[in-house]
Amino acid sequence: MIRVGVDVGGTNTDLILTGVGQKHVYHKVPSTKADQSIGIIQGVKEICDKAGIQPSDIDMFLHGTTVATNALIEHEGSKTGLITTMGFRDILHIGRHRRPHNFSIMQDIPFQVKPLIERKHRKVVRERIIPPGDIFVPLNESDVIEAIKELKADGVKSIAVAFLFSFLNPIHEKRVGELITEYYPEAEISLSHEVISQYREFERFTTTAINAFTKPKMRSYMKSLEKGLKEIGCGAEILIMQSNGGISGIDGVSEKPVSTLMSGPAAGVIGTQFIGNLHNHTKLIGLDIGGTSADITVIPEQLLEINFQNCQIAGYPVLFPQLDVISIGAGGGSIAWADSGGGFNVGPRSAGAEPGPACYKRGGTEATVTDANVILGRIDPNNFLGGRIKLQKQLSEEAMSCSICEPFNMDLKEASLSTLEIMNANMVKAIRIHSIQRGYDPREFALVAFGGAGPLHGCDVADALDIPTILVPPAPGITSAMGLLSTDLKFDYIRTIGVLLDSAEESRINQYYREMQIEAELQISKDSQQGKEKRDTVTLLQMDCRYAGQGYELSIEFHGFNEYWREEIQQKFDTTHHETYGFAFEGNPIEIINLRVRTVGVMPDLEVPHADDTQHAVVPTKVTNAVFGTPKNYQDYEVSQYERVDLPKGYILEGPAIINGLDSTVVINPNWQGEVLYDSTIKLTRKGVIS
Amino acid sequence: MSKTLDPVLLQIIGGELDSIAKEMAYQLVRSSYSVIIRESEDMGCAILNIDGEEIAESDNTPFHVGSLVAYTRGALKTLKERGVQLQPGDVLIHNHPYLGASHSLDLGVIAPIFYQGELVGFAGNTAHALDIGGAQPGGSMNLFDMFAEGRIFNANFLYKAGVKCDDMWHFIEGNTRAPREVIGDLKCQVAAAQYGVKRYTQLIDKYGLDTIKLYSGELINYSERMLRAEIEKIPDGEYYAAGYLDDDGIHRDQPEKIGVKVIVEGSNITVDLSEAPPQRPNALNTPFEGSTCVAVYSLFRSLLLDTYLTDKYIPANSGGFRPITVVAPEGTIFNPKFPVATQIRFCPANRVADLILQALAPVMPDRATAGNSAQLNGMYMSGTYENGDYWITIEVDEGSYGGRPGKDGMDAVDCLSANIKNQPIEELELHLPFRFYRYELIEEKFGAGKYRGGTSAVREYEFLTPSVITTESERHSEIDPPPGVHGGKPGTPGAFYKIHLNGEKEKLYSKNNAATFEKGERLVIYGVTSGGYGDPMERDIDKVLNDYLDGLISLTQAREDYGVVIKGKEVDLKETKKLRPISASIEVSN
Repeated sequence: MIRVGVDVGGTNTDLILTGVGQKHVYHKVPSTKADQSIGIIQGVKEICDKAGIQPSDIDMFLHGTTVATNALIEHEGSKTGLITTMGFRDILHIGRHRRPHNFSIMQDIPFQVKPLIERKHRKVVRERIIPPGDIFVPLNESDVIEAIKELKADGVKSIAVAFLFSFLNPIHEKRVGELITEYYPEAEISLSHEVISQYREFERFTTTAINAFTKPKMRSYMKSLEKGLKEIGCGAEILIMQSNGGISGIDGVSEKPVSTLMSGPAAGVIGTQFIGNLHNHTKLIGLDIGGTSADITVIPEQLLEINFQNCQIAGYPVLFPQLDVISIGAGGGSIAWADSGGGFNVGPRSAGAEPGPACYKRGGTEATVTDANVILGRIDPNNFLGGRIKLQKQLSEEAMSCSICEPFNMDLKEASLSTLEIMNANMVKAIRIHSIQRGYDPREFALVAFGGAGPLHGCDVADALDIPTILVPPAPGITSAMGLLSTDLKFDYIRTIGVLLDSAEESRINQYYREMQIEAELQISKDSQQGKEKRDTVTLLQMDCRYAGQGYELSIEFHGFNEYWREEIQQKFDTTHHETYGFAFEGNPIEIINLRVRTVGVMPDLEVPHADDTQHAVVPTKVTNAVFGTPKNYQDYEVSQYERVDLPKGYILEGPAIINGLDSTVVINPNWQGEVLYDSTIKLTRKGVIS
Repeated sequence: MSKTLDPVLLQIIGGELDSIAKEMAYQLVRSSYSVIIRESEDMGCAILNIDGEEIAESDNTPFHVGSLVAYTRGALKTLKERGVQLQPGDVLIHNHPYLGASHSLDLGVIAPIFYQGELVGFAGNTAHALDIGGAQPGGSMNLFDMFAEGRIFNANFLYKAGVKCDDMWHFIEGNTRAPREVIGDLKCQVAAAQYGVKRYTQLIDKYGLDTIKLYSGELINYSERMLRAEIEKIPDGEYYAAGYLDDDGIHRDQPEKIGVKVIVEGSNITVDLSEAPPQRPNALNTPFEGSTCVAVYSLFRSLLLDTYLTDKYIPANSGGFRPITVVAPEGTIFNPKFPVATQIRFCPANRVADLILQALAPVMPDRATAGNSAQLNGMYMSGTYENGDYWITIEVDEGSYGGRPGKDGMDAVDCLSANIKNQPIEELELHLPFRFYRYELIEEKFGAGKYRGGTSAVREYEFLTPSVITTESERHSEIDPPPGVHGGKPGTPGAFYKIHLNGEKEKLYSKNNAATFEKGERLVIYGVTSGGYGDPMERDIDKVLNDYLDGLISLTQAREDYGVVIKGKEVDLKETKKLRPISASIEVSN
């Protein structure tokens, strides 16, 4: 089976192709921002040439997309309208009436300054549902028809429908959907109970508005991608990565673009898990460092999801399940700078790709993390990214001495080591919040270091957290694309039910679960229509519970009814509460807020190519000097440099060493050693420690 | 910075401290019971040194995070007087308004941190309690003295040397109208404080006690330096602004004047509140340490170290208090004398914050706003179900911000010293006897300006049981709406209405003590809208058109306030030119 994975980033589109011969084929092309599909098609053509196949030979096409994310962040979605309950026109504008910054007078509130739906396009109609799902005011259809006509006349392309308490009774939203289809069939429709049937109006309305805002763009992108692939002869099934780490077909994603807002980072999480599991590590920390940011994920055996109450993108709440990956402003381009109070800062400002670090010689004058690595000899200026970019060490030194050495009275090495130490501390802090704070001990984890700059910083970060093992994937820059090829179909459904555990009716719970399972099966079969084989499916039932009176839920698994199901839920919830917060209100009544169904369509395993295992002699390509240690106590070392492609399976690398690859540089600190594993992954362990 | 200190370590320890306070807060909000904490987040957490200075605080509403210093110092003073020594494993409860509490409803929970037998600091938090067993459910206005406010805790022990003081917990449980919520929340507060103790101890394990002492001290100095550098940019001098409170809640419709003098000298600022009404014989008095000073400090942080405008590292700690002195004569509302009641204390302090801003507006035209709503609507609500059970809740309703240099004011947000969240309608109606009819922006009532004042929200709901409401509010009187600046127009006062069963609409005062509502009667709340910045005739024409199309201003307002003539959905440029002064922009961007 030939599969292609495509991960579109801000600068590059990464491709991976598997199923031809023994090796994976990797490729990179520049991203085409205006229409990402242009770059993708070009990339697919080129990678097929490289692999010696025709695009028509591809069986499956997997894709991580930033189309919806960019539309939201850059506020370039479609003209969108809202039909909502009379009296509640401005839920999207008022939000939770809290300022994002506690101490700021000049701040902007993102959803007020950049409304997803302008007030003139927010129409109110007479209707009202009240708990537990009764109709308090019947839907006034002539209000609705008038609203639809006005929105149409104003050129609105996409309409969100969001009524109070629609999660308890969606009848009015459904009817408005029918009326839109009747009076304005060209419009895209997003009904809040279909996007996410969960309580808290601002959050649900906003999630629905984001969906509506990005939907026309996503649909037309999906169409042009499908068309473009067909034009080059590729009729493969197209599957898209969602924020929850599962994949969905074109139809699913065109209907629910809000499910892809974290598509790219999710692929990185899956890639982390894939590499780890391949080498029998189940507890993993993923560190994906790029030019401007670092994505960090902690995987304690199972993938974790962000508690949906904390999901925010660009200041907008998003109630959609997403893998727990956090992005912090720390990357190779992060700028080191001194502030007026004598503080030493690294980031969040970044030199980006333009002008880039000072050593790029593109006009950057401020010292960046990459400049620090160059000064310390950890990046060889003559052999950066396969020698594609020649770096100017002297410019790094000038920038560092001007922005850091002078204000802090440090020499170049101390300044550079300090820059790395602060950058690493930011990442360590983020890892700690997501591991130790939740009761996971990093000493039991392996760090998967990837992205262009991850393998440069892996040893430093692992040392700060006492992590014993580091895995550097075969192509660190393409790990996210690889993640795309190793995931399953995944669909999430949710219903807010809001009942006390003691009085919950089994029949009602059953009915909700059944409805959701039917929806899931429909979606899976829809998404498999183009597929060439039938898939196994696995279904997981969950309940979001809380102690009656609390405001936030925790998810627990539900294994069906038996004589003791209530006691089992109570006990499981107490335990989960204790694990999460360090204490439990044992015996207090429990409320079931949401029921969830997750259906997984299992995909075939990804084959792994093996490294060269002929035992040939490897000689360092050169020996240079590099600095390691702390800002106050450092040392110069002689460092052997290697080419990654030359390294056979089983080869042992003694730190300090530098391994140059096409898309990334691996630095092995003096106290570490490396071993090349069967798939070319490099496993690093501390010297003197038996792994 | 002292040359012996390492700037890198300073940054790293600062980051660690910051996480500890935030983690404490996260835990408290997520596990708590009452809507006022879990949805509104009316709480704050901090780590303090042995002098009671904050070395780290959580990212929560300014009033809570700022007041923990006063709570801790107040509790320590009491323990000293009693000759009581703290031990590891102790946890204190404290809410004495004359010993640092912000007001008695904000319960402080403080745990000492010991390291190898030495007291090294405190982990503390404050959170709004739903009910402390006072004269009326939730909170009250007409209180004889502090003792009528409810249970007052003065450095009492919830845990002693790690052992739970069951007696105290039983006492609290038996003395609140909302035992499940109050006890549940209090347990969460204790867990958050204990978590802070654990994390701070781990931090010392890692870096050593001397290092942590040295660097946490330096972090405070650092914040102080950052603030002083900004104060020095303000020209030295005395600045003044005055405003009016609606009344004192007793003598109706008799406005009371507040004059605020801001004295800038080099890198020091003195805020003189001598021109203030005498303390009042009800609960409308503001505790000096825990509330008056906190409002002043938080204003200067927002104005001078605006976190939106800078990506500089500004550790959140007590350093921002040091350059500022607050003067308020004892016996005035801003520094009341024991034992007068202080439960309803927020609005006057928020007015002080805004008056400081207005006083400085002429010398800081690029930073100061037009008049802000500068109050809040605190609604203490309770009622009785048919079976006789109580329900109690507290709601805080929004205000708005004045027009700003280069930007419109923020709409429908908490203002200045307040920054908590509203409670979702879908949460309230699911769990409490409310029926909502309206929650949306107020149209046509905000201050016109080149940068318009923020509008606020109107909220209307019906009570489904007989209910009792005490309200905390200001700026309903016509005498002193948020002023415009540099030619902008003023905002509009707020209002409360009661809608009787027969449909009659009755205007209420801003301050109500235990107003009763029949089942089926409704309350309508209008927030205060803010003043405009700059001459409205200079507002971009397309913005005026957009405000009109958005339904925020009327056709008449577009013409009369802004000089923009709109026909249908278009601007009539020819007519507009006639109305706008020649200097004003008539460019349309589309």
